[in-house]
Amino acid sequence: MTTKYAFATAVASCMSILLQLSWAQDANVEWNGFVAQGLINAKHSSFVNNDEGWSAELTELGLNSRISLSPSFSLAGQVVYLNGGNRYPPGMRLDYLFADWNLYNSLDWQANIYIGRFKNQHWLYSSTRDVPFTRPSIVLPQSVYFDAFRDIAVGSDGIAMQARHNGDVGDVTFNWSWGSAPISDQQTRTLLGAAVRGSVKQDFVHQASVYWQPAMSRLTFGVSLLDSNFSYTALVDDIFAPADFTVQRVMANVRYQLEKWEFSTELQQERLLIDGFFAPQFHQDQMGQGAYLLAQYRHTSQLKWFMALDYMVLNKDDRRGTLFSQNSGGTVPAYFAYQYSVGTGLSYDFTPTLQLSAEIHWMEGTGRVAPVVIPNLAVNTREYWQLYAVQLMYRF
Amino acid sequence: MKSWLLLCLLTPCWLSATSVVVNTSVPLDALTQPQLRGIFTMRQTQWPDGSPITVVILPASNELHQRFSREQLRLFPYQLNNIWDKLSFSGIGNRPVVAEDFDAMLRILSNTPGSIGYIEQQSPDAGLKELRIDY
Repeated sequence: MTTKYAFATAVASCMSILLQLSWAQDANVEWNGFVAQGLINAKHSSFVNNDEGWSAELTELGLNSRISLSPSFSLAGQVVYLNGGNRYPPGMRLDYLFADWNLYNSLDWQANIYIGRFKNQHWLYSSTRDVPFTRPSIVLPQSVYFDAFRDIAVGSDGIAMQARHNGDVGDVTFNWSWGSAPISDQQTRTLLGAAVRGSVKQDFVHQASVYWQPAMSRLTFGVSLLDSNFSYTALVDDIFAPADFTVQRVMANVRYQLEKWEFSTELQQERLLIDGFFAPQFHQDQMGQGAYLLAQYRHTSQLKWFMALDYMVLNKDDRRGTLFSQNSGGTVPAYFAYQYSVGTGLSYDFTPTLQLSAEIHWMEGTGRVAPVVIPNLAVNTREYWQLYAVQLMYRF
Repeated sequence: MKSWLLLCLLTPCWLSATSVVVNTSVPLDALTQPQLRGIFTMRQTQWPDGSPITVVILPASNELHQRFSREQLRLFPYQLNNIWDKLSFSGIGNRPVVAEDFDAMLRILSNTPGSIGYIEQQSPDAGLKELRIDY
C-alpha cells in the first residue's frame, strides 16, 4: 500500500511539474488520451483468467502530454491504467516520462536524445502496444509481443537515441537504447509462477535497431538487436536458487504498405541462458524462435479486416516439445513448449475517435501462456484453445 | 494532344495539383521531396535557422489532404495517421495542427510564423510563399 501511495504521489508530482513548467514557460503543450473497454474469453486457458466465461478484464486507459519548452527541448509523460487479467499485472503505471533533447537538426538529418523512462522504439508495434487504435489487433502476435513480458519489454529507465535521415536513399531511422525496467514482485509471480517468492531484477537491457524505407518504395525493412541480463535473488528458505538469466534477441521485420492492403512480418530468434534457479549448478542455453505474418485490408476508410499467422517455439531444437516434456518427468505436456495460431478480426471506426474491434484466434499450444516456469497445468488442459475479444475504444 | 498527355505523365510538377505553401517568415524557397516528407511526418521539427516548424493539415477525410498526401508525400493518408499516432502516443513527437477547412488553413498559415501547409495549385495568392519541391 505504501509503495502504491508513493507511486501515485510521484506520478501526481511529475504531472504537476509538467503543468507548472508549461504555464511558467508559456510552452507549447499537447494532450492526448484514450479509453478502451472490452470483453475477452479464452476458454480452457489461463491466458486471461482461470474462469471459463467472458471477462471484462480488457481495460486500457491512458493520458499523455508533451511540452515543448524550446524548439529543441521537450518533456513528455504518459500514465496508463491496464487490466488484462493474467496477461499482465492490473493497475496504474507511469508509462513514460522523459526529457527529449533535439541535439542535431538539419533538413536532411535529425538526432534526438531521450533521458528518463522511454518507450521501446525498436519493434514495429512496441512503442504503442497498449494504445488500441495504433495496433493491428486487440491481442498482438504473442511470438514477438509476449503479454506476460509486456512490462519489461515496453520501455526502460535509462538513455536512448534516435537519428533520422531523409534523402535520396529514402528514410532511415536508427534507434539505440540502454537502461533497465523495474520488475515488481507481482510481475515476477505473473511471469514465472505463484510459488516463486524471491525477486527478479533486470540488470540492463541494451537495444539497437535500424529501419529503412527506400525512396519511392512501399516497403520498409528493419532489424533490431537486444541484449539483456536478469538476476534472481532467492529468499533464505527459497525452493529456487540464486540465478542469472541472459536474453539475447535478433529480429528482422518487413512491411509492405499499399492503398488497401498492408502486410507486415517480424521474425525473432531469442537465446535464453540460465545459470542457477532450478538448482545452484543448473545451466541451460537454448534458442527459441518466433515469427508472425499479418495482412490488413482497408475495405473503406472506416472498415478494416486483418488476418494473422503466428508461430513460436521455446527451443528450435525441440519444436514439438518432446524433450521439454521429458525433462519435466512427463508432468508438463509437450504443448507448453510452442504456440501456433491463426487470428482474424474486424475493426470499424464510427467516427475518427470511436472504434469497435472484434477478433478470434485459434491457438495450438500454450508456450505463451504465463506463468512460464511453473505452468498452470490445472487450467491449461487443452492443446487447442480459442481466444475471442471485442473492444470499444475512444480517443481524445 | 498525345504528346501533351505524355508530358503530363512524365513531369511530376504537372501531376501535382497541390502546392506547398509556407508563412512568409520561412527562410527557404525550395525543399526536396524527402525533406518535405520529413517535415510532414513530423520527423523534422525546425527550419535551418532553428525556428520551430508548425505543420498545418486539413482533416484526414478532406479530399485535398488525401490528394496532397498521395501526390506530394507519396504516402497514403492512413500511413501519415499511423506515423503521427506512434509519435504522439510514445512521447517522441507532436501531431500536426488540424485546420477545420481550407479558409482556416489559410488563416493559420498567414498568422503563424514558421508554418507550412498546402493549397490547390490554382488557388489565388493568399499572402503566402509557395515552395518549389525538387524531385
